[in-house]
Amino acid sequence: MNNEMLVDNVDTLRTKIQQVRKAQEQFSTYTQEQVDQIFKAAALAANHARIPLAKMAVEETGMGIMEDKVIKNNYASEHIYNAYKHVKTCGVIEEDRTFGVTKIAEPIGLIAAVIPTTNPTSTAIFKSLLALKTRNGIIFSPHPRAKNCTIAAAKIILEAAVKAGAPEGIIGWIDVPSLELTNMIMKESDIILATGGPGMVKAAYSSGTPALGVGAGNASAVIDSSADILNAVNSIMHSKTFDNGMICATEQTIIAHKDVYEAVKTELIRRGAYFLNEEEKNKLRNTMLINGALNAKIVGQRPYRIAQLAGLTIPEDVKVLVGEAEDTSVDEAFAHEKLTTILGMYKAESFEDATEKAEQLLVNAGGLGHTSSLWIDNESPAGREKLTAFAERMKTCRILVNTPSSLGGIGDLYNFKFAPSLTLGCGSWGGNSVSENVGVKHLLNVKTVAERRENMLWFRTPQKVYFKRGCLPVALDELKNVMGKKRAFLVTDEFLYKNHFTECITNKLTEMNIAYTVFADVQPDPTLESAQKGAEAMRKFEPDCIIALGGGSAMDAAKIMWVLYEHPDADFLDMAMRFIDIRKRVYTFPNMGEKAYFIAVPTSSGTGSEVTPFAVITDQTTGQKYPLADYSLLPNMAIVDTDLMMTAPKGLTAASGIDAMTHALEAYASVMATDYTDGLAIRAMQLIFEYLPKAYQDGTDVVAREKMATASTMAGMAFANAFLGVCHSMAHKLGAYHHLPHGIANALLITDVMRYNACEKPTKMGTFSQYQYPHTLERYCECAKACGVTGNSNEEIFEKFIAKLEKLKDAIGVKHSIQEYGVDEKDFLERLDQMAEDAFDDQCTGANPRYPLISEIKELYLRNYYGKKEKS
Amino acid sequence: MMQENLEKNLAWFRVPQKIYFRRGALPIALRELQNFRKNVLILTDTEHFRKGSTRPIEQELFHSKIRYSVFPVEETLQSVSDGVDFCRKNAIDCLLAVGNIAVTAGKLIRILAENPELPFSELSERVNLRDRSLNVLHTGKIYFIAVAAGDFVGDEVSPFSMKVPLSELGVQDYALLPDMSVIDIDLIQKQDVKAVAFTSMIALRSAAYVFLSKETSDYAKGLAVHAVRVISEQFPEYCRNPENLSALERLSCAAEMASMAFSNVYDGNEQQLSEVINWNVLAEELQIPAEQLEKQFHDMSETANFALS
Repeated sequence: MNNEMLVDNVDTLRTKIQQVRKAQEQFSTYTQEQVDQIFKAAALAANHARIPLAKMAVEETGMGIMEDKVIKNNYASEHIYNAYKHVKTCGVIEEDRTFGVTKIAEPIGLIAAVIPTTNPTSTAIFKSLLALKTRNGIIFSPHPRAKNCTIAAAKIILEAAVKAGAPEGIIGWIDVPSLELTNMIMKESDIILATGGPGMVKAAYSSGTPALGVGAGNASAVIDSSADILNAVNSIMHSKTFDNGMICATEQTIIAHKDVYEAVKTELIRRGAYFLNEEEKNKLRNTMLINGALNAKIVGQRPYRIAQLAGLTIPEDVKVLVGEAEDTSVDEAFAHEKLTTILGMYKAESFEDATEKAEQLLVNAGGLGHTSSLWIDNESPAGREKLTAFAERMKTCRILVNTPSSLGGIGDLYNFKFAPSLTLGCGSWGGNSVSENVGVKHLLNVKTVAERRENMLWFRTPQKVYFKRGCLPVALDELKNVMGKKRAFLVTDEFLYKNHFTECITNKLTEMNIAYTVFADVQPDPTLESAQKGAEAMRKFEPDCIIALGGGSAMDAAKIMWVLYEHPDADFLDMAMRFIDIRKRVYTFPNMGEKAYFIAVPTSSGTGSEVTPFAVITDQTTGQKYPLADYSLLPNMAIVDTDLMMTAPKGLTAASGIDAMTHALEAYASVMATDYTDGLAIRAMQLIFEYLPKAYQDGTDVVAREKMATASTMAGMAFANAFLGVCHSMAHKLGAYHHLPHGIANALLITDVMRYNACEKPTKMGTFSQYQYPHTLERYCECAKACGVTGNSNEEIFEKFIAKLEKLKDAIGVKHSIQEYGVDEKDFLERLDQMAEDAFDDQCTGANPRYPLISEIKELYLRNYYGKKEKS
Repeated sequence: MMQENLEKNLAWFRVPQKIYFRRGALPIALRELQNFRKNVLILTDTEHFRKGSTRPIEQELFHSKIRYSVFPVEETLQSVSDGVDFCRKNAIDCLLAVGNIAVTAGKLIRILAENPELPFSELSERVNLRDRSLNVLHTGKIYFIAVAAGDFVGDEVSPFSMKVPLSELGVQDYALLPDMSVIDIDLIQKQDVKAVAFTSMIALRSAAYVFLSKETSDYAKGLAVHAVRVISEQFPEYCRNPENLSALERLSCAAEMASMAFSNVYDGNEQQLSEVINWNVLAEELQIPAEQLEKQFHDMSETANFALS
């Protein structure tokens, strides 16, 4: 490989690119230890050469101050090394075994680095160090006016790197820069680090290669009336004269509040600033800008030299030229970026005016996105307010407070959480793709390895679940003796109230001297209107506990009233919004229990609502049903007293009993089933198989009633945590559209849905990490076996289980088709499409192990309308 | 209190309000402390403390900007007293107990720290000898999170505490139920067959007790039976391959379920882990022949004893 080859045309550049790429391929296999060794060696070598390189730079470019360039070179090596010496950039850079996420860093490949004439050696050092730390190859495109010193810097670093183990030729450069070659390297590289004027940056972004470009700066130093003048003026002088003003972040203008203007001017003059008069300003204006563009001859020059060029006579020791101006438009030369020892100065009427001027300068005369500077008392409350306002308004990616902006903008010198860099992004305002100080992370490809994990699951129940025949008065004791409640609000339905069911509660409340009122206006399919009425009554009565007595309707209505009572401005539609994951939902349910303790007392076996976080409410105007689901709705206490269920008529016993069975079945099949819910669900199924027919036949059978009550609550606990499935989705809509009792609707659909779910080759599987593959057939068989079903194969056991369920339905008088319940065929068919779509959209669908297509739901409805049973 | 309730015709099912589980659940569960609690005291035993087992918890709290301290505890009077003092002096509003010893000691620490008028020395006198309840209220001031770690026995979900100093009585009071329990197998020594064996055998015997108790319920039985079912399937799996995380996950669920069941039955005596197992009842519940079940248990015990020895 020819190290001495001169890169001066397309062919030689092509060869050089190949060389560097080859070296980089090897470099990409290096370990963090190897890389860090190289990084350190290169930084040391660059620092050792800081003076010779600074001398070369000034000699070759004729710009700047050697002693300041020494600082730049030192900074570029020392501060960059320090910032990144411990940063991981090779291989695994982050590993989280808990969440199963690993991040692996790889190099990008070949970097094209465009180097400016203003900071040639320091930028070359900076970019090559970043490249070495990230295992990238780099080829420099120097500025024609600074090519020798740029290449000298690159050579020193390359030698040191190779000596420390880097592959030969990992750094390259164009010896004879030209537009053609610069464009070529930009096109052929994998990423461009472009430092230069807007023209060059635009070329970089247009090349088709990803670019990290920067932009022109036009920082205004706004001096507020509260500023420390001594600190401000001297910092600005120091910053502006650093390397004769060639750092892009440096101050270009001062905007001083009128109250301190004179003081600022005086201090400036004291420290060596020369304020130009009108004539001098005009002469200088004509020299500063040639055809609206910056005159290259004045860049990085001392004031004496600039004055010579402009035909002015000034003392030799002047440090900065100041031109006072009023116009902030593009026509004012003093408004522009000068990159030399010239400052414009404006007077502001107020802080607001100063901010306004600073904004205008950026918009009109360039520099948007780069840097702005503010001098202010940032400890006082008034000062902090102004600072906040300034920071919110200024469209620059660096806002420096009480800091010299050139030395401050490059980072880590006047603020130590500000990344050191010589490539300062200007965001979209400057047409850049980066808005911060460029560092190693911008030169890496980071791969993320994500390993499968399962969602956290839970088991949640009311704090207290009391049961046993006759336990109601005993459980209510706590209201007085433990909780000190004084005012109870009872919610129940008309039938229960009229038939004296509430007396066991109201008598006890009276005994305990607890005031109470009864709201008995709950209908089946409770409406929003009725819930709002109830909430209104609650607000008037101000209860500290709520007792819901009844079936699902009363308990659901009471839950809604509870929400509306405690949070009158909660948005209903937001609460009812569908979610995929209850823990990640958009809406945050408000905390409950701040005003009232909620006790649920079921009178049927049942919906399980006494232990669930669900409530369904109907909007009476549209007929639309709103399911609310949140653990804030979980009752604080559930009291399951068999005495309240002894008189349930046959129809209710059957419907609620089979509802409980579908709860258990769907909870078991759900993608969110866990061992906790499985244990409860199985037990519930066993109890229902044994005792539901008995309770149906003889409603006075206490044991049967008690076991059914237990089964219903246990099934409730299961589905409160594992949720349900598409059978309930379909039953909800069947009930809404055709007014079938909820339990019956479920009963009519469940066995067919089970067949549908048990399919070993489902059209679509449910989406949930713990549900790895379709195995619902297996799951149903587990239930079957626990319920005493035997067989030689899963298919056989499943069929026998279905038969057992059908037998149970027969035993409690469930008919065999939807049609048999008097649902009109024409009406059913007409609205079937909409009903199927609504069922698909029901919240319960998400937990189904088989994700349904609307067409499949439609088919299930049709089959069960006519009562034909076919295998799906 | 429980004895009285039973006499008055009341039965119950009470478990912690939030039981969170699955591998990796701990950091997610801890996020609920954001904007909820400010000053956490992490309790653990000296072994876990030395091993640095609480480091992931500390990291999570640090990221959530919640103040925390770590305190090693033992089941001694002095240690509990020190813990209570620390809580009171430093306005602790959340106790996070990691591992069995910390959980059972922490339950007492919490109740004592919440009830400053309850003198520590008189605690033993407060214990109701009939049902070993404490007759104190959990005020809600200090949120109690119980985290399973090492070889746990399910006290994360139970109302049992360590023996009350000076009394030699273990307390059994629902005021001692943790507010949140977290079972994250990342904290349970994986491939530690000995620990898993210990936990599973305790769980089996707890579950078996449920079927011997006088005052048992379907809630308890449902959980207990399923626990036995899961352990009999998964324990041999796990012993065959201790890297089977899925089996470990299910065994941990089973252990908690057994404890939940055990915590909700009442026999008038201190619950005993059953030496005697009613094979016929259990077998009937599980729908398998009694001899088969007994053999399964026997085999599991042997494996466990082998592991435990």
